[in-house]
Amino acid sequence: MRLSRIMTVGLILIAFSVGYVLGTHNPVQPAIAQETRTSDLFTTLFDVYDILDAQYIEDLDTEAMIDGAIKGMLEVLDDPYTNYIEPAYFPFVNQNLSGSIEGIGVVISENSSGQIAIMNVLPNTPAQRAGLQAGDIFIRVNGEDVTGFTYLELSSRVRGPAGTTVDLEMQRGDTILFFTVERARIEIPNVEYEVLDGNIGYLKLTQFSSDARQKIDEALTALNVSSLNGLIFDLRDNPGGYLSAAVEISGLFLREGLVLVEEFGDGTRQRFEIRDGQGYQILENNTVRPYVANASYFGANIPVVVLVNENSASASELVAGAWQDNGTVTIIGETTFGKGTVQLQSPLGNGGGLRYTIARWLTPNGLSISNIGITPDIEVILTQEMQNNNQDTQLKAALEFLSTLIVER
Amino acid sequence: MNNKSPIFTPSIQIRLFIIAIILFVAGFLLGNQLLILQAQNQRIPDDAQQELFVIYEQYQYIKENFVHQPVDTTVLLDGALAGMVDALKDEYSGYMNAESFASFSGSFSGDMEGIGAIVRTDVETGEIEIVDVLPNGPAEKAGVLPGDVFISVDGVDVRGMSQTDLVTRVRGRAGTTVVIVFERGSKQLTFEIIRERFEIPSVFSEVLDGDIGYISFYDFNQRTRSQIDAALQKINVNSLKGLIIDVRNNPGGLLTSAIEVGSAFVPDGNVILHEVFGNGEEITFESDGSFANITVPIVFLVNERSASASELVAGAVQDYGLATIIGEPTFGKGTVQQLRNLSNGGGVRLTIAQWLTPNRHSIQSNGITPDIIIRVNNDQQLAEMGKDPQRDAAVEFLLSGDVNPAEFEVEVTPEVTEVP
Repeated sequence: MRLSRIMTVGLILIAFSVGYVLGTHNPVQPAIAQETRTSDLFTTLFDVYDILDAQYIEDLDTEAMIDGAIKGMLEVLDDPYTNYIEPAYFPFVNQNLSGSIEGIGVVISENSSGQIAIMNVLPNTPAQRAGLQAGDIFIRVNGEDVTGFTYLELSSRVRGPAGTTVDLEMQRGDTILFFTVERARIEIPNVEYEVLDGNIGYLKLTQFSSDARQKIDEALTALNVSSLNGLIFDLRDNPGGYLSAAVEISGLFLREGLVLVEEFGDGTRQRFEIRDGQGYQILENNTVRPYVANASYFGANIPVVVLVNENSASASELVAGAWQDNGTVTIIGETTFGKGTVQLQSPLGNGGGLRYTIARWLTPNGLSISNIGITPDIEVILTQEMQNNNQDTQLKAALEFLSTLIVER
Repeated sequence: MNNKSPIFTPSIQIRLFIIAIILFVAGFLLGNQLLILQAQNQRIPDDAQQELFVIYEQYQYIKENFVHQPVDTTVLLDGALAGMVDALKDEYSGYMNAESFASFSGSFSGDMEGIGAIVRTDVETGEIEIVDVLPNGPAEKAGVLPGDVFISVDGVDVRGMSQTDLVTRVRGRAGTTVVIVFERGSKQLTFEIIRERFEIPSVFSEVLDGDIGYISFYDFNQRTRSQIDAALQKINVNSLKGLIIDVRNNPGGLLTSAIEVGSAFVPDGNVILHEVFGNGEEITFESDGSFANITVPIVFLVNERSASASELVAGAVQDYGLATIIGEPTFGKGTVQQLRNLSNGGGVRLTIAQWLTPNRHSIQSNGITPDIIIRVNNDQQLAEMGKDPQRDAAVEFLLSGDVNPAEFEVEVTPEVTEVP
């Protein structure tokens, strides 16, 4: 035992010394003072963990401690868009934006009493075939009580690989209903379109998913866009999505030029531009990098109205801002949400993820829209009461605006 | 005391090898002056610390890339530490940054600068309220009353704030002014209070009508026992007919002080309390040999705001039948917190054990049930009216050997009171 201890010490000393010597002879830049401080800061963190582990009266839940530390660290930043995503939910957070998910095919929302209910059942999905209905409230999933769960917590239980089944206990009115649903790959319908009276095309984009531009191109082909008298492009209630999708879509009504400027925490900027139907990223030092390939111009010589409202956020505001500054479309509706920051999502070593704000973005004219939003060219209010009465004043204004243009032509 | 089982238990050779490699890396990095994560590399690693690495990973992302630069890294770590300790979900454990810790550690020394009030947090509502105001202290002179609930301090909304943070805001240099808004009943009252420096006059004593001695104290600090001894001498306790020890509204304090105070009433060498740690280890504290030899009957007055050290002492004298406990069931705060200072100047307050009375009665789950229960429903208002039915009952008991609680239980209809 004694011998083994001596050997331990010897081995440790040798390993340390060899490492130290090699280190001093390695021509790596000396670290700045900040790095040393980082080690001090983390010494305290490890000390506290050790104290808790050794002395707290109850057993320690290490995972909860880590989640607590991570959340506590983010809380001091006081930024609603910087969040930690726990390992259990990380696989699900971006599935919506990929254009398809593996699940049962319902859109869920939290009702006023904090329950999670089905908002609508997508057509031709397992959920529809099983008989689930809008308004059904989730009670148990695979036997687990899900009342009080967050949206993400519930999704993580309901979703799963296509071909597997999930047992649901739902409340409908006063009755409890049981369903066994086989999961499948569900296409998320991001684009809706139709031709309205007056030969006006209508296209609604619900989010900037990775396949959004492709879906829009398919819709424009189906609408036979050059035969139309005008087009209404509806970005209302669109919460945003990928920056790359926004740049691709901005090319629709922006032949050449600046889409946005990103300004980072260290003051450096990069620009995104459309040139010859492609999107480019231009770094602070003017290095030009291809960014997205499919940013081609819309092509049809018809007037375009873009509809926005207070729920048009982020990527929606980005494209509306680019189009407004370049004067190719008319924007009708209400002032937009005002989310002028860009988030990056990084996976963490524990299987969770970090979504954090890395930049502000500015419109081509150099304005930040944070907390301001995009002001439409023509402001038209749509109150909740009007919506309840199936009135759409904004769509009506868009149609009137386009028909006036047609007469003038 | 580590109850966790490791995820894997490598053989000693593998451990040695791992340690050697890690130290090699540590040496290498030190040589480079690149102390990326000294603590991580220089310690004997365990699985948990490897798991904690994810916090560092996130820290780097934020530090390098967050939109608002530069990021104050000390504040980031303060947030992480607070978040980690909060995740215990134990209301008595908490992290204090360097600033809060400096203020907090001053609070048991026996003197301080502030407004002269004792506060506590209501577990159910999270509200922080005044437990008591010190006689002639700034708070009392301004008209603050026990039961007043903090709303704002110097214009900052303090609802939902931790008690430690609130205390940091209320305290300050003598001569400076703090503006506090309290809620009293349905009204909000604003007080401008000039802070003073005072020795915490922990112990108050007098002789009541009927030759009954009365001693009350507001906390358990380093000076409490010596002040009690001085008070016992002043009132010449054994010449009287009885003694009332009033720990109503006393939220506790130092364990050492509780042992000292308990030893005044529990004969030398008897158990005062058992301290039971998370791993089952136990320490028994006995009376320290400073028995005060009080020969007259004793009543302890307690109420729902008597907590921690107050409950320890009341529990010990109750178990041995050394005093009669009168009042309301106590708060039920029987866990032990340890205060540790940290390398960053901050501190962590951590629940490490629970207390049992000599008869192994858990204070945390039950509190102390008085021998004679006398409830008052509005002691705030009673105090304003100069009435104290619980104390009157204690006097009656000491004089006649019996008391009818019904005669002293008072219901007071709340009425609007004006405070200048």
